Amino acid sequence: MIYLKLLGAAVVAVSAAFLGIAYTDSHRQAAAQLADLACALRSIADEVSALQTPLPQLMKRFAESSRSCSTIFANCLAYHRNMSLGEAWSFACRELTVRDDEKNILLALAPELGRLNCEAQSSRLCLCAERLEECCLLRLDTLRRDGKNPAALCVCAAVMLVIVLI
Amino acid sequence: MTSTIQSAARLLPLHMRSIVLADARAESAEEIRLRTGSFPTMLISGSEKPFSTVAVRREDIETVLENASCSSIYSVADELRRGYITAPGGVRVGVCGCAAVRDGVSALRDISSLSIRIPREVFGAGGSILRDYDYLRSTLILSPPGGGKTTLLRELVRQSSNAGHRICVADERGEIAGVFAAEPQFDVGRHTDVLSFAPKAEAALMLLRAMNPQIIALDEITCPEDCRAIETIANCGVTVYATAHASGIDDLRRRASYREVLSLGIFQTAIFISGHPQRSYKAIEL
Repeated sequence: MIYLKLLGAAVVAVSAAFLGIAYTDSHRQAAAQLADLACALRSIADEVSALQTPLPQLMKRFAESSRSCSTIFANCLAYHRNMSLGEAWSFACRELTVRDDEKNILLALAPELGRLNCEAQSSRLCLCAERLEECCLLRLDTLRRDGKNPAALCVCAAVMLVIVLI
Repeated sequence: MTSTIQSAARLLPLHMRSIVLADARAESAEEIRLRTGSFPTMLISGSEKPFSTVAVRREDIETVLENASCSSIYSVADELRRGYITAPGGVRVGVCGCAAVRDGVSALRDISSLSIRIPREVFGAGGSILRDYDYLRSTLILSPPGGGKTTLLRELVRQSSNAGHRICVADERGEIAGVFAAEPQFDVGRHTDVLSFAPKAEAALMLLRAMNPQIIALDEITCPEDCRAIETIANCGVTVYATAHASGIDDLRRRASYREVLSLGIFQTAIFISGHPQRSYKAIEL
């Protein structure tokens, strides 16, 4: 009986540790996604400025790539079949699994997307990329500082639970 | 429905698109015209016929502009300054509104009217004139506006290209080949290279330097720069196909820049187009 209890306790503790690791990992992935998105927006800004390529054409290129930010562009183009590009971008941004303040940075682009001249459009995209990079740095900083805390906290909580239950 | 009407209808807001596509008259429409506060119309045989009893709203105009510019107004800013946008499929959208002026027209705002011109790809345009034609003769196509010059030029380009001549098209407004995503939307022949959206005079010289053409085609020569470019390319032994607004050769001679081109003897043949909607073609040796 005692072995069964110990096994149960171990399962709870390991699950809790994984929960904590998964939480940290989701942060790390979100940071990587933001960095990739910022990089994509900078590329788009460069091409808008140099070649004046229309935005849907540029988005298509990123949507078809294997980058982590491809989903937002693919979703945006899918919505764009039935609505304006700005509206489509808003819907696609809302589906992202990032914090609200990060989402708001992306949403701020929506009313200006495709409606400005070359220089203005390019600078707005660069500004958005810059702000996303700041968010990304903040996330990475938090991860560096408190990276192992969520996992440790979860394990502690699990141990407490095990003690209480036993 | 022909693909050109579908290309034009794709620019319209959804509620208008379905009406146009279901309207049998659309087949023969030359233009779709939208004016804020008025009913939308189709230009058929020279007169406007309304196709909906719902007045055009400002948002409808914005939707057409968004669709015509591929949701990227910056990509058509230069064209917009000149009063039109060339949309995918070679559909030309004429634009009217308030001009912002700074060293000439710098932008258009409060756009109130649009004229969506439906391009026509007429295989066999020109009838017997182009049969057994000597494609290496420099040719000037003349007609009043809307007379079918671009259609005939496209046919001449297609036929001479398929006859094996290397031909380059300086397609400033994207109406001859309608290139979209690097592919011509109209059949311009197997040996045709197209440079789109560059000013004609500049484009013609670029093509001359870069593509080793036997023939260069350009639409609507209008200014002295175009005439000078034509002179340069003709002096390099390249055949020129061009079009111009004119009701006849005398009308053309009255204008100084054309007079010079004609006096240099660059063009060997002029083709006049007259009649509407049934066109008649007349070729004369210059």
